[in-house]
Amino acid sequence: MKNRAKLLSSSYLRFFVAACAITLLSGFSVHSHNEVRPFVNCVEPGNPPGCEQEKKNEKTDTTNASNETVPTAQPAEDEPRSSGFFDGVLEKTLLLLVFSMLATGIFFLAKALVSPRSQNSYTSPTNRNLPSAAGYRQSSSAQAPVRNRPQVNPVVTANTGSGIRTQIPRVERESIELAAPVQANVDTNNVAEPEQTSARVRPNLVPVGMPEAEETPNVLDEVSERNIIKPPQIGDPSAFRKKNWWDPKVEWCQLSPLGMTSDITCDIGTFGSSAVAAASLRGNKHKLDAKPCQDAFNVQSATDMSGSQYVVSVLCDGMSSARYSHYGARRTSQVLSDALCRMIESSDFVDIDYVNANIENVLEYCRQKVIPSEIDLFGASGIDPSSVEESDFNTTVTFLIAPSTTSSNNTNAIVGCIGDSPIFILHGPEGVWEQIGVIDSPDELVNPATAAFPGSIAIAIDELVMQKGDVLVAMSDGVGNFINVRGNQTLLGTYLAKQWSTPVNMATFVNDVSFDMKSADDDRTVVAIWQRI
Amino acid sequence: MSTETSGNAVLPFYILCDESGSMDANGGIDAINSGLPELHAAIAGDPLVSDKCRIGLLTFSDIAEELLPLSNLSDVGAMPGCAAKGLTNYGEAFNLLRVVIQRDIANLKAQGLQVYRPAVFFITDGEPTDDWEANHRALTDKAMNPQAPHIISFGVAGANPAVIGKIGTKAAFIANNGVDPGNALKEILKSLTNTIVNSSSSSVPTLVVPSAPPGTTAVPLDTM
Repeated sequence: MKNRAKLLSSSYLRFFVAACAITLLSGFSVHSHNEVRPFVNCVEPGNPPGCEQEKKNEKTDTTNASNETVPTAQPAEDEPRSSGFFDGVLEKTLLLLVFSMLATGIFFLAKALVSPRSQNSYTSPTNRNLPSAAGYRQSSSAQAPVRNRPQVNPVVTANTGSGIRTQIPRVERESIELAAPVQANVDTNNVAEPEQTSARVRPNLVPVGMPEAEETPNVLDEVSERNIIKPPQIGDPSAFRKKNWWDPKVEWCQLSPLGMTSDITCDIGTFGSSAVAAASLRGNKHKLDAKPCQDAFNVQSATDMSGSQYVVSVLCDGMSSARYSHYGARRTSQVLSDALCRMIESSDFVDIDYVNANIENVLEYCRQKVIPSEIDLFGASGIDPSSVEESDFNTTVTFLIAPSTTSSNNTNAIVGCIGDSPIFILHGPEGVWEQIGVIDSPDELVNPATAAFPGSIAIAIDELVMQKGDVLVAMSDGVGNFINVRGNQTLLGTYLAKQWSTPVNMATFVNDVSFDMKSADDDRTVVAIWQRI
Repeated sequence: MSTETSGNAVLPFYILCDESGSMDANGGIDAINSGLPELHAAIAGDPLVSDKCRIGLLTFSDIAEELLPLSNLSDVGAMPGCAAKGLTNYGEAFNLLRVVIQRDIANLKAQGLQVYRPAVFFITDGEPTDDWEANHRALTDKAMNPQAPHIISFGVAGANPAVIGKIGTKAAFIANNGVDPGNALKEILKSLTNTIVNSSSSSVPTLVVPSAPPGTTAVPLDTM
C-alpha cells in the first residue's frame, strides 16, 4: 500500500489529471474499448473471446498483419472516431495528441496499480526490440528460438545412451541403463562430430629432405643393464624396426578401436605324446592400419571311442578383403576345432577315410555357426548380423589332427586346408622344411585369389606319415611365405628349423615368430606339434 | 639347397620420363620436378611401401640417362631433377631400360631378395623421333627378355594415342584435348604415386593398375 500511495502522488497521476482536463475542455470523450489487450493472444489458434475484432482488422490492414512478427504485445488500436466538433487539421492533430496523452496516462496508471506479473504482459513501444520474457513466450514468431534450445530430458537421454560418445561410428546397440550424464550448457549446434576411424588409419607422411628433429634411439639398440628381448633379425632391418612403437612422431603401432587387438595369442602345453606350441602375432600392416589381428588358431584335444588321443588344431588367416575377417577367423577356428573333436569322439578309429566321409557335414555345420547371431556376441564387437554377408567373414582354414597316443600304431597325421595357408613337416634332425599342399605361384604380380571359408567348403585333405623327430607345423602366409622361395630354403627357414627342431619355451617361441624382416608385414601364426618321445 | 635367400619381397618401379625440348615450353618439366619430391615423400614416409618397393628414374631425349639408380627411397635424400633438351628418342630409352632392369634384378637376387616383375611408367609429350619399335619389342617380349617389365604409358600434348597404346603393356592414357600439359602431368605424377603405394601396401605385392588420371583418357592397348 505504501508503494501504491507513492505512485498515486507521482508524476504519472499528475499527467493523467492534466490530460483529463484538456479532454473535458475540448468536449471529447474516450470510448471504453480503447483498453490495452495483449496482441499475441489473437495470433494463436483457439483465441479467447474478444479477439474477433482484431482478426478482422488483420484481414483488411496488411500493415497490421505484418506486425504479427514483432514479438511484442501491442495495444489493440481502433481508428479514432470523429467527434463531429473538429473538422480542421489543427483540431484533429490536437485531438490525436490529447488521445495519445490520455492513453499513455491510463497505461501508466494501470501499470502502477496492477500486480508485477501483469506488468510483463506489456512491452513499451519504445522498447519493442527487446521484448520481455513473457512477451517472448507468447509470441508465435518468438517461439522459434525456444524450439532451437537443447531438449534437456535426462531420463530420455539416459535410456538412449546418447551420453556415451564412442570414437568411431558403431552399429545401433541395445540401450544400456545409465545414470543421467552431466549436460554441458552448450548449443547443440556446437556438439563435436564423432571421430572417424578412417582419419587415423594411415600414418602422417613426413616430407623427406626437411631437417628432422633429434631421432629417438631404438630401445633394441640400447646399451644398458635392462634386459631387452630382441627379435631375430632376418636380412636388413625393416622400417618398423628402426623406430620404437611408441615414437611420438609416427603412428605405426595403433590399437584397434574395436578392441581385441590381439597382438599376441599363445598356447603352450602337452596332451598325450604331443607337445604343442601355438602363437599368433599381429603384423605391422595391421598395426599401421589400426586393425586387429586377422589370424587365429584354436588347439583342442580329443579321445576316440577306442581310447586313442589326438591333438586337434585349426588355423585361420582372415582375408583382408573381408570386413569382419578378424571375427571370422576366430570364430571359425573355434567352431571347427569343436566340431572336429566331436567327430573324433564319436568314432572307434580315425583315419583319412573317416575324415573324408564326414568333413563336408562338419564344414556345413560350422558355416551355419560362423555368422554371429547377435550384436554383442563375444568377440563380435561392432558386427550387426542383419547387415552382413557370408563373404564378410572369409578366412583360410587349415586343420591338423595329430595322433597323441604313445602306444598307438597310428602315427599318421590328417591335415586339410581351404586357401593358401601352408602346412610343413619340419624334419628336425636335418633342419629341412617340407611343404605340403599349396606352393607359391612362379608367376609374379598376379593377384593371388585364394579359396576361403565360409564362401567355399571345398577342402583338400591329406594324410601325412610322420617319422621320428618330425614336427608338424601349420603357418599362416605371414610366416609360411618366407620359409621356402621356389624350392630354396630362406634365411628365415634355416633359422626357424634350427630353433624348433625340438620344443622351446614359450618366450622363445613367441620371440621367434616375431622376427624382423623387410616386407614380412602380415599377421603371423604358427602351430607346431612335436612328439615327446 | 641355398640358405642365402632372405625371402624379402621387392617390387621394382621405373619412371621413364621424356625430357625433350618441348617439355620445357609446355611446363612439363616443371610439373615433373615439382611432383617427384611429393612422390619421394609419400613413399619414403610409408614404412610398408618403402620396405617393399624400389624406384628408379630414367630420362630420355637425344640420349637416355639413368638419373636415379633403383633405390629404396627412404635411403635417398632428394630426388634428382629433369632438364629439357634435345629430341624424343624412344628407342634409346627402351634400350637403356632393358639393360638397367637386367642389371638390377641380378643385383637384387644376389642380395637374396624375392623380385617381382618390374613395372615401368613411361611419360612423354610428343611423337618419337627415332625408330623405336625393335627396341620396345626387345624389352617387352618375354621370349626375348624373360625379365620383361609391365609398362603403363602416359602421353600429353603432342603424343600420338596410337603410339602410346603400343608402348603400354598394362595400360595407356592420353591427355584430353585442351588440357594443359603441365596440369595433366601433375595428375599423372599423383596417379603414379598412388599406383606405387597401392601396389606395395598389400602383404603380397600386386601391381594395381591405375584408372585414368583426371584430364586423361584410357587408350586401348595394342593387340597382336
